[in-house]
Amino acid sequence: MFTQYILAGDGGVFTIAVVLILFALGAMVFLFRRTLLHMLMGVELMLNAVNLNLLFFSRLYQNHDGQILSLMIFVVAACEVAVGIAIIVHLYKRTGSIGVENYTEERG
Amino acid sequence: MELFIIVLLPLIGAVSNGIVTVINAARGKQVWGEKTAGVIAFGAVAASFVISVYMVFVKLAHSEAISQTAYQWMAVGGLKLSITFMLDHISAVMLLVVTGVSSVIHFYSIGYIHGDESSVRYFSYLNLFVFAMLLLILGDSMPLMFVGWEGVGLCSYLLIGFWYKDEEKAIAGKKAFIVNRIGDFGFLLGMFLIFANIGSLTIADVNHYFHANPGMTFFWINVTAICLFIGATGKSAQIPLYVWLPDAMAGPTPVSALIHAATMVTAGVYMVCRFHGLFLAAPIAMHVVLWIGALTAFFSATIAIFQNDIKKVLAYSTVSQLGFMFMAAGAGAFAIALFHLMTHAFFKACLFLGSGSVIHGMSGEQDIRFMGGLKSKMPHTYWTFLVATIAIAGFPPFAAFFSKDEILWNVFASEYGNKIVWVIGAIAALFTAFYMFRLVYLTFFGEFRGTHEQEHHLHESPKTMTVPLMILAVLSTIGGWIGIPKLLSLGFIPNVLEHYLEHAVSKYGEVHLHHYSHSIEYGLMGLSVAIAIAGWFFAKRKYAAIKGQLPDPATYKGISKLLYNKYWIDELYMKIVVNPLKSLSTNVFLNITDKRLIDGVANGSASSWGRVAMMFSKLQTGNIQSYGFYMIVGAALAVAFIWIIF
Repeated sequence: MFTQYILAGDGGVFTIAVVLILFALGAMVFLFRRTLLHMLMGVELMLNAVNLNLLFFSRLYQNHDGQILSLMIFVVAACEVAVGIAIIVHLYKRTGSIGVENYTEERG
Repeated sequence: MELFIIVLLPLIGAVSNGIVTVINAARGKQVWGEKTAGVIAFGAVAASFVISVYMVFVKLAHSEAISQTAYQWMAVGGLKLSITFMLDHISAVMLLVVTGVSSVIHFYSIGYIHGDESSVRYFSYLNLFVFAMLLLILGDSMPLMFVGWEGVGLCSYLLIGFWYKDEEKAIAGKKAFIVNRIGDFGFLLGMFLIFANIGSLTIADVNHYFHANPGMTFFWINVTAICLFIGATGKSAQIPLYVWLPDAMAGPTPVSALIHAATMVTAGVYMVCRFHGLFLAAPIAMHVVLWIGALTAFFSATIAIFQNDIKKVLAYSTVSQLGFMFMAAGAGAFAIALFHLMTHAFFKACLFLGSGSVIHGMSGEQDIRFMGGLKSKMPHTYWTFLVATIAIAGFPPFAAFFSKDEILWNVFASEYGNKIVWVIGAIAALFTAFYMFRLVYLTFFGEFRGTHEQEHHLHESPKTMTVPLMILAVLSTIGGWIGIPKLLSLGFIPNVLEHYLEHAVSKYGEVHLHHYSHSIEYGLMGLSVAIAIAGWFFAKRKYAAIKGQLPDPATYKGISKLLYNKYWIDELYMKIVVNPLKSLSTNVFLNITDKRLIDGVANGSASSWGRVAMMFSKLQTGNIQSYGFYMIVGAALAVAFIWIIF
């Protein structure tokens, strides 16, 4: 099922590869960087990978739904960044640290 | 349609009074009070009575039975039941007795319950009882009958414990309910046996099956009949389940008269007559019925001799008279059982209402040791009570002479009868006359033995109470005349009852009487009269000229002590049934089954799931990145799963 998409169309395989690599990089950043700011950037990277994916398939099937969805993701991502950075700035002001290992109050 | 109106009118009364009880209690102000409630209750039952009279004498005059169906009740597999009421000659007798006596007692209740704070509730229960009783009488299938059967048990419980703030009364109600449930279990078992074997539960089918061609073996037929009879012993207070009835006297006196003397307790007799097809096919069960009836009649008559509570004497008397009815049924004389049921309803209701009037006049005193000389103070009560006493003692031409004499004659002569049982019955009749006249002499004759305060308050009861007494006294006098044996009337007065019931009770098998000459029959009749006179004579000699206070029961010795303490049957039951059951419940069912097993399972499963949850809570580290990791692993697994599937 997935294979047939990857092989479809001109240069499809490269786009898909880029998407996967981009997403994997974002995930890596989110999982392994220890500062909240970097993690936020990792999330943005993953979102962009998803956007790219949507755009590619939108063009492949000549269907504009994907493009519209990606526009919405831009908006959500922008909001998320604004809120996220605000939180991080406040955390830094309050505790002097944005290391993720310092915020484990919700341990079960 | 008419039968439904008969049944539903009391229900409407019960529901409307019940709703008003709730509203009155919730709002603290009266929607309507005891007057309106009494009028509604009485009106509902009286209307039922009028329609019943119309149905029986007009509609039933030309047909054998009237059957009316409302709707299908349930259809489960092969069992199809509908709400059908059937009026035939057997249920007609019962219907008239129940609605008639109920009307009189409802009227009496208006005077009796005057001033009680929960009188609306009282009338609601009373009407509910009549409704349940009518279901029992008119229901044409066993389940419908059983609904009524349980319903009257419930109402009996509610009304015995009517003054539930008095704990003793609440306990008496509970006792009645539990003992009745034991009997009901027998009824249920009988019903299951019948359904398992014939697959139908309508009364006509059951009787017809057992009469025509019993596919069941002789043994199982008898077991079925005895199971049903156990139900009857519970409801009709026979050995061994009679213990609840004397305690049931804790209820208001009109309730004792209506439920625990005239109507509900005769339901067992009615049921046996109803299923006479089955009982006639089960000779062993017939013997059980005969013997249990005779023994109950005898034992409770002996107990009644030494009781000092006016209502207790009447209660044991009721048990004894019910024993007579079962003797008749056991001898195969179902028509006579119904005849005695009817006359008993009249004179026993009259006696109970009379005792209620006495207690009312004596400001709540029930002990006959402290009465005496009420004759001049309460003349109406005295005369009606005396008439009913003469009736129950069996003096001709009062009601019970005919019915009781017929019972003894049938026990003597019937193919199911037995000479020993006849002797027991005759002695019981002697005791009946004795204890009833003892009651009359101690209550109404001699000098007053109560306190001065009671003497000062002593007064005749109001008209609402004495008029029903007079009606019932008249009925106690003439009630027996519908069943005068041919031998006495020489054919001039038709034996209405026999003629009326003849076909209905011999539909499923005839009972043959052994042939005896007329002189023997006259002799036995004379003996009945002699017995009644002897009972009266002994009572008069012993109690008529009593002077001063009567001895305290604590000083009783020998046989009188045994009888005063009712053979210690209650204590015996306490020891061999109640206490072992209680200790079994506490030690096994409470401490082992409930506390260990059930609580163990419940608490154990709760705590083990807690432990599992503790294990999983380790995964919640508080670190966002580990949550992210779980998410990605989960997503990867989901993708892998889909990849593999497709």
